Amino acid sequence: MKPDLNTNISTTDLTETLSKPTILECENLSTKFHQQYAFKDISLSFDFNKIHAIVGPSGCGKTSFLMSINRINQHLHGCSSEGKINYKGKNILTLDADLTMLRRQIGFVFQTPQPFPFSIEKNFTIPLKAHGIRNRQEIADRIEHFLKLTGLWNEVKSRLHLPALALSGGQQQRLLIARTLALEPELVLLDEPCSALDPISTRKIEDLLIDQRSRHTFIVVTHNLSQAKRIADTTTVFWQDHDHGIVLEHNSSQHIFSSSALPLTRRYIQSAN
Amino acid sequence: MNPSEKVILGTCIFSITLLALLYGQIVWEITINGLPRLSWNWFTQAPANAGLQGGISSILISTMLIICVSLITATPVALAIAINLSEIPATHSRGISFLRASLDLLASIPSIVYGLFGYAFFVILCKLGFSLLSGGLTLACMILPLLARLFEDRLKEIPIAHFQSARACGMHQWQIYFFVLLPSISRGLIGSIILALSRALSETAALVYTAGYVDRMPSTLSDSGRSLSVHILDLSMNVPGGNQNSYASALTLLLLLLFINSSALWMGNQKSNQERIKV
Amino acid sequence: MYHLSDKFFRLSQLLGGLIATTIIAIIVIVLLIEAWPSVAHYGLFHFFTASGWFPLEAEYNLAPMLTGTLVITLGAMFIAIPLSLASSIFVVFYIHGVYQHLVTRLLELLSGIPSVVFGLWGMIFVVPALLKIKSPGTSLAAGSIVLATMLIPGLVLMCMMAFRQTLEHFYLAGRSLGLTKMQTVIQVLIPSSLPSLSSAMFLQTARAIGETMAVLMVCGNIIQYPTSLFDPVRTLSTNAALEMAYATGDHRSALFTSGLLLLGLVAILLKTSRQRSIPENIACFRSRTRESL
Repeated sequence: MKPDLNTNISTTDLTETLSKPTILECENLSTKFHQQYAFKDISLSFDFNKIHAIVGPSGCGKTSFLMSINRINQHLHGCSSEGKINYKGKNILTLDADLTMLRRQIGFVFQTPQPFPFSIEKNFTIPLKAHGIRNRQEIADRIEHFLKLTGLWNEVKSRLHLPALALSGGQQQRLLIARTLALEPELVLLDEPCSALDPISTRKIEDLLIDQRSRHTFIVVTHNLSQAKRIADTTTVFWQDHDHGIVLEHNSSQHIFSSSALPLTRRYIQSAN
Repeated sequence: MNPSEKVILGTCIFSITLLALLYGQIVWEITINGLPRLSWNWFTQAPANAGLQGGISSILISTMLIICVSLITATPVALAIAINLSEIPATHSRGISFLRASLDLLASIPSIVYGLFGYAFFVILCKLGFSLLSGGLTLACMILPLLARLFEDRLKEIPIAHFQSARACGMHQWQIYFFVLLPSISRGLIGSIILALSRALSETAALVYTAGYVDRMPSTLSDSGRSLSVHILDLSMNVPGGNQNSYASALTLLLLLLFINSSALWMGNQKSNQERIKV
Repeated sequence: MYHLSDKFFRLSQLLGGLIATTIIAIIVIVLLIEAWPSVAHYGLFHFFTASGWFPLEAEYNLAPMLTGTLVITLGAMFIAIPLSLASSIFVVFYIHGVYQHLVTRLLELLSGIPSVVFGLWGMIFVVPALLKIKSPGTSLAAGSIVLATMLIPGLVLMCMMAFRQTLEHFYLAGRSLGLTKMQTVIQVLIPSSLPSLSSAMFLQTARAIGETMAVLMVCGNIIQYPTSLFDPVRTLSTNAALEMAYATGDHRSALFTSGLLLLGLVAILLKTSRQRSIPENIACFRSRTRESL
């Protein structure tokens, strides 16, 4: 992964809408941790404004894959990636400068909710200000809008100055999703966003994703096959091949869940029912 | 990076450079001035002429004896306390939370106050007089909280499965501890003792009024004796022209600490900071 | 817990705990007993309102020494805190890999150096250097400098630990939100570490208050209220250390009273520094992510 120091993705480049409907394309992507491959040779493409689910048993490299996309895995010791990741036509894997700009276009929601140990309001203002939005009114508007979107507004509107950590797990996760969306990224990566949530909160999030589909593209890693079936337009099935992850099948959800040709996929789908 | 961030980064770099120079100078001066005096004679001869001549053999022996007394006394007690602490959480027992509070308090008492206590209690009340024994016992009180905490950390690292499987074999409580659990962390325990040892070596104020000032070779534990740190103090403050030997003693002490710390490291006492995140 | 040996084991455990609590009780009791005669004779107010510390005339005013202790400690923390914070920020966030390990080991070694060695260095370097500015050299300033030098490695290590904790928890989140490294460090990581940092500060301050040797060797040990940085002072701890050798009767008892005062100061300090670390309701990010990786 040679550093390409002269490349500098600016916001205007990234927000240029291309004629292709693909927002993200991986070619022969592999990621390894300390010489051990998490997944190998993955080639996938993801379309704009759709919900893409990634399913598969534990340990297949789903989270590693997600983390490779917004390049957050380079902050983990011993981690490196090979191959190509084309985000809107530009290969972001060779990019060495300004991943910050990349991450303003690609949002990430972690599996375990961990809001900053400040007030709810400050959790929003820190990233918003860093993105250049300094107008107080606009920040307040955004906070209100996105908290309403995640269904959290009524619960917290009177205590925006109170610590975010005082919220319950489900509320925290919804807060973080609101925080990520408030930055208006084009692509949103979610790593098992509902695994720590109760069914009602899960439903709220699923409805939110379906609702916001026209504004963002979502790639959701989930263990919950029925969730994938409910919300996803396309589904990717990861699987374990010896000691690393591979992609078993990548197709529309309809195909995967009802008419898959691969026996492994069929067995996996059935195991969930 | 905007200007304010540059200023912050600049301040950080300035600080660390300043500190590097400062501590470098300290270590350098001690080494340069103390090294010439270090020799075989230095380690094998007793001090003469109030320490201006001769070596530090008796000092080393006294120091070693004091530390032995303190470790031998403190280790079993610390182990018992650690077993207590690791088994019962503070929320379940008022006794345990009281114990923890006591240990915290013990750990924070200034060393001069320990010196006063040791003098009043061991030297006077227990009639031990100025002796290695008084010094060692006072030191034992000082290192007890540290040792207990280190032991507790090691005990907490044992997976509960070890305990449960030993229980399933029908072993008694004491057998479980002595034949299974403690051996499994023996390296860590020894490392903890070594760390406490290095802490004990640095103690001065507590020893001045308990072990005394005598720089002769002690013949029994009830003899008064001078520890290395007290010797450094005496040479620099009370003996005119004693600076050079004071430096040499300081260098000896530093080398000793270096050796001890390396052994502790080698024992794997330091938790390998497996950093996950690369900044 | 059925066998006799189990009962013995349990007993020895209890004994260990009992010994620890007994020791602290004995310490306090012994101090009280020894201090009592002087308090009974002169009353508590005497220790702060007498005309000065003149043992031969049975005047035991602790106030000058108390002032000395407080001022030296303040001076030391004034020097130590900014330097330690800045250095620990640099080491944690800007020194990587094996170099960071090296620096950490070095700091651990430095933090183990006995106070007498720092006192020795102070005597031979700091005091003459200050002498050039204003005599006598042995002074409040010397004491603060030497004390700060002694405390900094420990303080840096504690600050580093605090930063490493928040690094684990919040760095990835901050970076994923599109914050630069500097922004994450300054706006997220440092503010989140404040509880642990302040607790570290308090602990080192407590250590400074009780420090005897390093201060003894460079402070001049003259009992007076310091009017400038270059005045010699005497602290509560050095006072006790110096005079114990020949104090008798009420004088000795007064020294024990000063010991109790020291203990009280340290206890107050520790009470106010209650560790408010990052609450446990943050699920352990590390273990979860490792699982799914």
